[in-house]
Amino acid sequence: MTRQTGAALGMKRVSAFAFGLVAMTLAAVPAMARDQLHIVGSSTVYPFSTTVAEALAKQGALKSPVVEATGTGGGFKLFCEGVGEATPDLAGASRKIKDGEIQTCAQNGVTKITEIPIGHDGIVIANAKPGPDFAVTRAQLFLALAKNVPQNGQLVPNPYHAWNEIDSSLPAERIEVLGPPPTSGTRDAFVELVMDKGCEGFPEIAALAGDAKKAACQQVREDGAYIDAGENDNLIVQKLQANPAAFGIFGYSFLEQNADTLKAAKVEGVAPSYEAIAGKQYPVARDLFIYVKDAHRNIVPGIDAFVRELVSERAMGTEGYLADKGLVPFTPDERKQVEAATLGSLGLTALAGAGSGEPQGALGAAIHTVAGSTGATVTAVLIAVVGLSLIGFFMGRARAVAKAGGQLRKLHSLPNYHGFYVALWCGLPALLVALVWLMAQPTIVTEAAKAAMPPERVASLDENQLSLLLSEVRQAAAHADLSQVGDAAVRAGAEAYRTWDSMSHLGALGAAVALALIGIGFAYSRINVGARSRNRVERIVLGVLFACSSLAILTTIGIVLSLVFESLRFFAKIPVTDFLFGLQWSPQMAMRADQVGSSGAFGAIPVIAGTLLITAIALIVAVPTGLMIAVYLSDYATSKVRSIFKPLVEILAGIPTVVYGFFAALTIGPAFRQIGEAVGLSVASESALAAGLIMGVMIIPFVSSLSDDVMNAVPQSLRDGSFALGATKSETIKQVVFPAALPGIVGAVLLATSRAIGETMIVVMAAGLAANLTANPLQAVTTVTVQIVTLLVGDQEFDSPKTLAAFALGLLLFIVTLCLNVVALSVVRRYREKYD
Amino acid sequence: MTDAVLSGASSSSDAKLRRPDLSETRIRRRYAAERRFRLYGVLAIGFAVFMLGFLAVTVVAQGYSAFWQTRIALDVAIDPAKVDPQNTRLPESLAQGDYQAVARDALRGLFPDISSRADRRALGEFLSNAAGDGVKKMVLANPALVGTTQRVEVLAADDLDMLAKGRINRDIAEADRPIKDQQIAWFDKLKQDGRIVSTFNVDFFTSGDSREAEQAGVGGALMGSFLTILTALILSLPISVAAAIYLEEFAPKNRITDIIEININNLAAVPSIVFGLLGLAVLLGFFGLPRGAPLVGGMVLSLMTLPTIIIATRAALKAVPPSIREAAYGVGASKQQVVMHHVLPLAMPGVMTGAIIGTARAMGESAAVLMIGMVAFIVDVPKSITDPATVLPVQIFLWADAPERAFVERTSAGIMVMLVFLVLMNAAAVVIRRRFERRW
Repeated sequence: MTRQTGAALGMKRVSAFAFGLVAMTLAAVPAMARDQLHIVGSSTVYPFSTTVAEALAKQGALKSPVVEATGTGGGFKLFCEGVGEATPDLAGASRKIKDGEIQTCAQNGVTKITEIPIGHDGIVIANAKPGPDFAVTRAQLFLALAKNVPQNGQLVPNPYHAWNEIDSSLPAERIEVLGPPPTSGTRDAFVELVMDKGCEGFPEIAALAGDAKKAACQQVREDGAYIDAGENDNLIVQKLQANPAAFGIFGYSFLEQNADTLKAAKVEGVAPSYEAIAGKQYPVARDLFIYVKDAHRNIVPGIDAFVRELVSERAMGTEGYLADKGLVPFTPDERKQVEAATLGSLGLTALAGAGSGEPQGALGAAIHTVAGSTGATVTAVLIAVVGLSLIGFFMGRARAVAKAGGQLRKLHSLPNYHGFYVALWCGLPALLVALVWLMAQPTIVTEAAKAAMPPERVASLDENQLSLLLSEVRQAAAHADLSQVGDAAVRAGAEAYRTWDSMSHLGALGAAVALALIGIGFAYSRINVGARSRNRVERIVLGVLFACSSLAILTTIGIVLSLVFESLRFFAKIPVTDFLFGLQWSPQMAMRADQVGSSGAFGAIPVIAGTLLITAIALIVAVPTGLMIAVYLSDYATSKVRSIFKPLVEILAGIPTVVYGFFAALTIGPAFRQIGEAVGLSVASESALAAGLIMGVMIIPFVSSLSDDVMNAVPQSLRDGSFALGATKSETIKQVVFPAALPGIVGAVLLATSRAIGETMIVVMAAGLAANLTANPLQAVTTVTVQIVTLLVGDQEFDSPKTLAAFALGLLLFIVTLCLNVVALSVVRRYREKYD
Repeated sequence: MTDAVLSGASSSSDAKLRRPDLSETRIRRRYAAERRFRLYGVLAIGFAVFMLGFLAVTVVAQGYSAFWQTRIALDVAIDPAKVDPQNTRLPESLAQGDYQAVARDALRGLFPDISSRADRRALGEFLSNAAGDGVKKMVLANPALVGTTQRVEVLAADDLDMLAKGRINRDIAEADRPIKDQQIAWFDKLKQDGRIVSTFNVDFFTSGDSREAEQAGVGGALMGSFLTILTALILSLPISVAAAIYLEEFAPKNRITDIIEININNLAAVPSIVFGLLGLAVLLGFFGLPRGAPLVGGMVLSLMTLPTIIIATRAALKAVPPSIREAAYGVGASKQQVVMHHVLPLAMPGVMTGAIIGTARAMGESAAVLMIGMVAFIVDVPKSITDPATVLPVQIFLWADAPERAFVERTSAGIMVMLVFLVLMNAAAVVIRRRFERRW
């Protein structure tokens, strides 16, 4: 009874504590000063922005920039989130910024953006060297890849299966094209440059108007001839090498690097080359851009230096280092125009020649670190509090022993408990205060800095301008020599910021130490022979245990909240019933306002079916294998064999899934395809079987290790009893050990199942993106996780249904697994009652 | 009784009743089944180990060469005019010198008959753009070298490295090769002169990412992984063990406990990418923690490993026999003392198993950290848990997407480094487990 109330008390305290935490963190925490450039955006621009960043870092001009590959849309979402250190400074894009994105930017205070075109990116259609030579027109490509093609005056579903059915000059090969998914900017460009142009010559399409015409031109076929191959161009390259009959669509730089194994098709009679792309004779090429947030030029060092380096001859020029990395450069005149326009709009001078460059001193000048950084203070507080707690522990212990006067059994609690009691009173309040400080400190210091600036300067600013000004203040306080800061207000603010910052660091340390000492004093005074220290300590421990287990609930709430809002926005555009019961999944929606995609069907059934199919295959592989491994290791193997093989098998779970993905996509997939061809079966190179098999291998340890542990835990007496009746070892295992261990085994299998359902990278690489509703393991299917990744890292706008669908899928997955688990848990419980 | 007497009376029916041959058949069959069963076990282990070995061989065959780096031994004349622009021999001045030019001149000096601009450029492509760094380091360490000629092994560019390692096929058409015939001739001459040397690639382990394959290393990613996993373990191990203890030993059987329990089982099934979304929305969006920092990565991964360790810990706690508890109660221990002093220590091997699987999963995780901005190009090695960083699997993922051929071996080498760490972790766990594991 007393223990119960103790637990209840503990819970009350914990929940009060949790409420306090939440309340405190509601005040937004401003970011810390940043001295590195932060660049986000398209993975196509990534190789070039990183190269410039590295060149800049090598000059020693500034700390090396951080470049993140987020996809164009994801990049703009971050870029347009606002101004200040927490948001990126530059965004790379494989398309022009859209009006909607400019508006979002403007709403968040990002009003001035400078656009810098950096060069061309050629898109090639290529196949392996042993395959046929290929020269196509865009009209032929359109006929090969469109969903509906004109025939005898009307549009019919694409009937072509081999290239020579379209035109006898083309090779007699099956149409099989590996290309980027609908979420990719490369796909977008391909549709615009090839499909839109290719459909123009057909009278049937010319007769259509508006959206119907666009739809006819832009829809890509979904019957397996065009294979969405994900964003990894290297993977496409390697799949082509494994399958000479197939063609791939990818960036020019990959062709250049793989010229020994691949050859490009001529489009409209022109083969892709630097000259042909730069001279615009090769028709399938687009421009790449980098966008600069002008407002950040004052708060983050290095933006000007980056831009100047980027547009310089040695980077962007025809002989520049970006060309070495696969960028098709502008002609010298074009580059000069870009340079003049960019530098003019930013008010910069050009980089002089190829020397070591402009005065970099001002930039790299003595980066002044603020006296006590947050990290150092936290460490100091921790060391102080832990040290004091230790001292408190020994003091409390000593006092209890002294009080007992050598007769320890007179004490209500063991001396150690008295020690713990003092230590807890010393440590907990002090750490709590430190935590509060950690969260409140930036706000307080920033407010102080704001107050120190002339009020008339601050009052006239709106929220975004204010945040920008404060960012400037923080940056000045962190880095610059204050006497060199021109703006008097910023200088005043920065001085106040520094003063308050160092004061608050000392204050936090002082407060924590004082509280710790008070805690020691209080608890110390309460120690005597009859003090119920053990009960008090146990109550606190129980509270902590409860808090830890309720973290799971907090996590779930967090997950649900972070999924629900975006999902609701998705369901506002697409009806829930269409999503849940639709039999077609094809997120081919328009990527830009002036485009019309196809139907844009968002029926989740094929995606879920695909997930289940692959999971089932994985389990068929993993469960018997894993169980037999567990049986062998727990009941047959000598302890030596066991100690070698158990960890060896466990390594399978630790191999990065990227590795499995490559293995499945490049070794197992093509092997199955060849075997299939040999026995006359049609096997897709992204078959569910290959992905499922490899996934099964990956989850073997989840079954084996945990089952082994529970089987090992079955009492030896049960086995001995069975042996005594004359049973063989296998009979004992099958009829005694196995049933007794069943609840644990079911748990292990469930864990493995969940791992298989949630696995992402293997299926991203090996299972493909085609959403076929089929139970045939030899066909390609897609899974929920693949779709989430593809939708989220694509180049489309962040508010489009395509992106939002990812959250709906995530929510769906979450709910489905929840239901599964509720059912499974009740089943496990029933079993457990039997054998406990 | 009567039956026995009766059967004893007739000797012919006695033999019939014993049926010795039949039971022998049955025993043989049972033993055969036994052997088969055992064989299945061996086969299962064989399959798992075969897959592991196959993967390992594939990876090693592709990646081992990345641990050696091709360098060109040059007699570099350290020209004061180039390396010491202010002519003071002070470190500040020496640091600004153009060492790349010095290295380039040394290479050109070996081929005096090359005069056209295009040829000189083609020759220049042999050198990595970090070739001068080695010279710079030497000179800064010993300024007296200025004005002398030193033999320096400078870093070769990735294409030359690939050629030296035999990964560029000389037999295919010249236009399809990144290295042209003329360059191959130069290379062969350098090789004849013994100027092409292959050294152990220390930089691979110490340097951060680079767009130049020959300079790219896993140092930054390793440090990032270490900081991330450390954060994750520090957070998740105590929390999940505490949660497991509460749920298994103390929780009253009521609705709240049920909800928590279902929750935890469910969290184990949530795809890692959803945890990434959670981190994006809550840790970055709401709490404003720094993007791409190991702190955030560690927090996300700790949430992800939480259910794994909790489930394993609970299974291990459950497996401790009641006799232990009863004995402890018998000598007057409180419930917490029973759990903390007796049950938990006995359950530790199981806890370790869970922790290993959880950590292994966290270490190989890329989807979750992709969402919180750890997929970034970072040259500097991170120094604290708030610096932007990337982790090993993401580094592998990024390299796998790079067009340059030389990144293929880097990718495999990165995987090898990762596997080595995994094996080390597992070995440590085996030692722990072997010391404590027992069967009741």
